Amino acid sequence: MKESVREDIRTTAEHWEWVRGLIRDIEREEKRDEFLKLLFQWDLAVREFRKVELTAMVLGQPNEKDFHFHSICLHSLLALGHSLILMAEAFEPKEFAHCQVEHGHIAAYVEELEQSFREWHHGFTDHEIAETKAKIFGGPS
Amino acid sequence: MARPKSIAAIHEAKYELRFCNGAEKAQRLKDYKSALAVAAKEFGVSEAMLEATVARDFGVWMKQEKMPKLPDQNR
Repeated sequence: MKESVREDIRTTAEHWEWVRGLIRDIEREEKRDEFLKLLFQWDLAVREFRKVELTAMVLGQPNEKDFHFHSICLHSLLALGHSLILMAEAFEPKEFAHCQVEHGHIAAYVEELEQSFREWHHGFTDHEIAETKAKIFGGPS
Repeated sequence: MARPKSIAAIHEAKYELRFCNGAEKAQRLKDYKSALAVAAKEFGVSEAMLEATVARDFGVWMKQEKMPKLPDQNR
């Protein structure tokens, strides 16, 4: 084979590799953008959840329905949050740098939701709570 | 009912945690956990029990302290 033909084949192979690399980059960016879209939608849902929680549970007098829906929403947000943590592991921290998102932020949001769950949907009896209340605030247990 | 200082400290830390922006969340969570640990030790109860017990007092504290529902630094 003539030298010029060999050179052409090598050049063509390099070009193909370059195009493949470009496609891989686009696919990765697409996946990242999809992930970020989901993350921001989840964040919005968490914020709305917090608003309703504040009104109904924290500052209001929650009834059975409030507890029920609060629990359902928390379960859903936690499930999505945990899955977002796993999805985030597929990306490098620098890939989120442009939108100030860090892996640790997502974990902290999820942990905060877990904290809410422990507060409102614990397995302690009324008697145990009353006893602890008396220990903390004084008064009859 | 008098509210011990350590319980008010938990509420304060939780308030900061709820209304901080995303970048501050991890640090605020750390602060909350440390306030919780201090109070749990003081009263000799588990942290989970303490969280469950004072959950409703948080709203009372917010009203008493006239804390804004959505502070300026809302995320």
